[in-house]
Amino acid sequence: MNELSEQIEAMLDKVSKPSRYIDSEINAVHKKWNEFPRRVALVYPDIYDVGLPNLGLQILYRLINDRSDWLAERAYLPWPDMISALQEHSLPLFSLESWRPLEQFDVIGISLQHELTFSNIPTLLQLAHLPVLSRERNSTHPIILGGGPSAYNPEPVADFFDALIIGEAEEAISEFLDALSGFPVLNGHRDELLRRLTEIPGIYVPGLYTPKYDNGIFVDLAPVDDGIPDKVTRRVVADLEAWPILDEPIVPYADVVHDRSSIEIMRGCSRGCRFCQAGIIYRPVRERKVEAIIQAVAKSIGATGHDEVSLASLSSADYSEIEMLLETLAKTADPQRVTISLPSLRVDTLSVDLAKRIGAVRKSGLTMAPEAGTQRLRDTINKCVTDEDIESAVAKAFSSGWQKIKLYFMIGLPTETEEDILGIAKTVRRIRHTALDHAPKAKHARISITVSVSSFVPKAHTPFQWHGSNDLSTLLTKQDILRQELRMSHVRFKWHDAEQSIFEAALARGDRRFAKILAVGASEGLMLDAWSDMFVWQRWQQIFTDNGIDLEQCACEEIPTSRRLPWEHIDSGISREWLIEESKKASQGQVTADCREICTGCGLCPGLGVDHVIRVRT
Amino acid sequence: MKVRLKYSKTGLLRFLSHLEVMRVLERAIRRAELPMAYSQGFNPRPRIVYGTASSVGLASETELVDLVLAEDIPILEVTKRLNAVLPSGIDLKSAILLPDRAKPAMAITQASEYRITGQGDAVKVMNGLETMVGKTGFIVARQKETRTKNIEVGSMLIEFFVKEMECGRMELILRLKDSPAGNLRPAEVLKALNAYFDAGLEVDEIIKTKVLTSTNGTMTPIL
Repeated sequence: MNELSEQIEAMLDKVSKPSRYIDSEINAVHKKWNEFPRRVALVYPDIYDVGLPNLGLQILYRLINDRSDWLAERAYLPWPDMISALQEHSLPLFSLESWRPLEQFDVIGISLQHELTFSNIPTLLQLAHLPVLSRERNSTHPIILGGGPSAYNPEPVADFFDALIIGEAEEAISEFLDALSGFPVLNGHRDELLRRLTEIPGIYVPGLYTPKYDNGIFVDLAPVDDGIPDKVTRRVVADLEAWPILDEPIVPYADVVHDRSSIEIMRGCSRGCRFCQAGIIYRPVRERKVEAIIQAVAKSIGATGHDEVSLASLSSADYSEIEMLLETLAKTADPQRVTISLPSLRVDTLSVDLAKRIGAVRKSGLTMAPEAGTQRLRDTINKCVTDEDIESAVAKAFSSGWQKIKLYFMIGLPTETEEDILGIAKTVRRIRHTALDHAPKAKHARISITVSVSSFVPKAHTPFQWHGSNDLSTLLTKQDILRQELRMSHVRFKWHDAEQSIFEAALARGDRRFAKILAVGASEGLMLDAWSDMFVWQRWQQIFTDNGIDLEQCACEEIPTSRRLPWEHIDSGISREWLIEESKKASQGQVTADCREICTGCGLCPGLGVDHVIRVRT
Repeated sequence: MKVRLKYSKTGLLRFLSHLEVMRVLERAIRRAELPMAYSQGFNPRPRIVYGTASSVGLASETELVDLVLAEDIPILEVTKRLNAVLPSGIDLKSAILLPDRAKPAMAITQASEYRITGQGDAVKVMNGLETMVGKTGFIVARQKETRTKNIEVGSMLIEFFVKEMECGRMELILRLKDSPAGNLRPAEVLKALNAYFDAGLEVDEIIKTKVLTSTNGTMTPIL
């Protein structure tokens, strides 16, 4: 292959799970380096096990490789033992397909999925032997591009990036690559190129904006001159059907977090749960055609050999023809012993047929997300699920043969009281009772209810973005209460580390000052913060304090709506007034309708010239 | 219909763990659309019976796996379809039809043969192997997660051949016990030779070459 090959191969003998670093997975694309003059390295800032299944990165990988002028390879963060081995031998971070140093690529595209991966960004740039800050790089360095859901508040990592794509990247990535191809010689033209990129809708070049602070509080972010737009508006793919479903996903050798094929059945969600950023940033709902899905599922089974296909979307049970889709899929999947699964189920319309259809071949666990423990709080967050809905859904599931169920709840939501916390336990108790009532006695021993409780993190562009998270001691107290209350047979309580949640919240609301500080932590070896055995809260807290930022205060602050937020230059298409209105309704316990039924006036569709694409209207 | 397959595990794919190889095979069998028989019960699995586990990093010319098919199809069809979908590095070498009552490969495997090429003192190696064979007292530690197991090298060393080549290079053929009841790894023999006999062995390559069963007192390849 190239000069690194021998050395990397020698390391594989000495590191854990070497299969993570082996190329040539089934359905990976291997183009000849010398035949393609322009090259992109697509990087997921976490280890292979987490990054490989990510659909967004795989979609872009295929799109770019389908071009005749560009080549795309992938890279993931190595596990710490491999990182040490690389550092020991002064070897740089390499791509998977050809084991080439990342610095040899023209573009390095990094996916921003989750705030707890943010410290992995300076880590991987350092590993790639690249200057970590955009302003320290010159035209001998690759263009560092970002994208993905967390790009909606890119400010905490903005200094690392030369450019970011805000929103859905299918169309924008082509425009971006075309703009680069149009620059015959990169040398000396870097500033010109970055300025040219700002002309592409949805592309944000942080270096051309200057932040202003007043007494340690962010007050403004302004473009450096009139030639740069005030706001960057997200991209939406209005006609999703024009972009074929990814039906040949890469099959990893290593055991990864989701070892199955994921087929995208729709994008967007119209429910309007007030804490949920995904619901905002992926509007409007665009359902794919049934025929296209069926073909994609069949193709992926043949192309991968997986025994499970997941119908992926934010809320798959909301797909308007879900029952018909599952019936049709069962005809080919069942004889092949392939399970069709849904990532999670809507609690309120789980029909007996749907319950039976999913997992007809084998019953993996069912997942439901009531989120809050009382009707009052559920209405506040606009997740309008009633106790009767939950009861009947659980009854149907367990009488249909299910034995395992996973329930998601959240603590620390705005307006939450102790009654709401105890409500979680009450709900779980009722669910357990219903499960045991409806499952045949012989199966009782196998019944397992996993209760997974995360902590509310205020996310940019949501109605709750002005609310703070609970502070650390409150979260720990609430977790203690639940630990006591959920002590019952058949029930397993899992909780998210409170310190990780605070860190996440601080990063979710962060501004331009954060990147440099993250780089300091990365130099010390702080990384993989999403992994609880790698995360060192005390160190991060200290480093941020040394640099003038109190992480807990950042996370917990109730921000007045009069203040400008660090991400307001990113236009999600949703009006600020609507978000404030939703926040007010929340405090009054008022619900908002599902916007596929009646327009709730968020401003997105008229503003961006898009609309819901729903197959069957009821 | 029962089929026994022999496949090799080479190149970078030698770094797959046994579980990972199992998944590669299972998915390849699905892609090849072989008419597999399935187990009964709650979670039906395709009836694939694996041979003894091969360690991560060990290249192998012979790995065994038995398949139970639901329909009779020509053996050549089985190998053709599988080879068309297997990733390069896992290659099907041969296949035979088994009688329905045949014992699975793992049950009849007693030893594996390895070919090792390297540099060292051939005389000391020969002497060491002759001294250890069949005897206890030559111990090498094996790390298993958190525990350490003491491996009796001599008692699991069955047969060996040493071929001296020029410039201190040599080729060793080792036949070592390899069964569910206990196994000896080639690297452990080499460690014992260096530790107890000062053989100064430096290894270039280790490859598993055969999987053996005992037939009338002699070790013979299963496939």
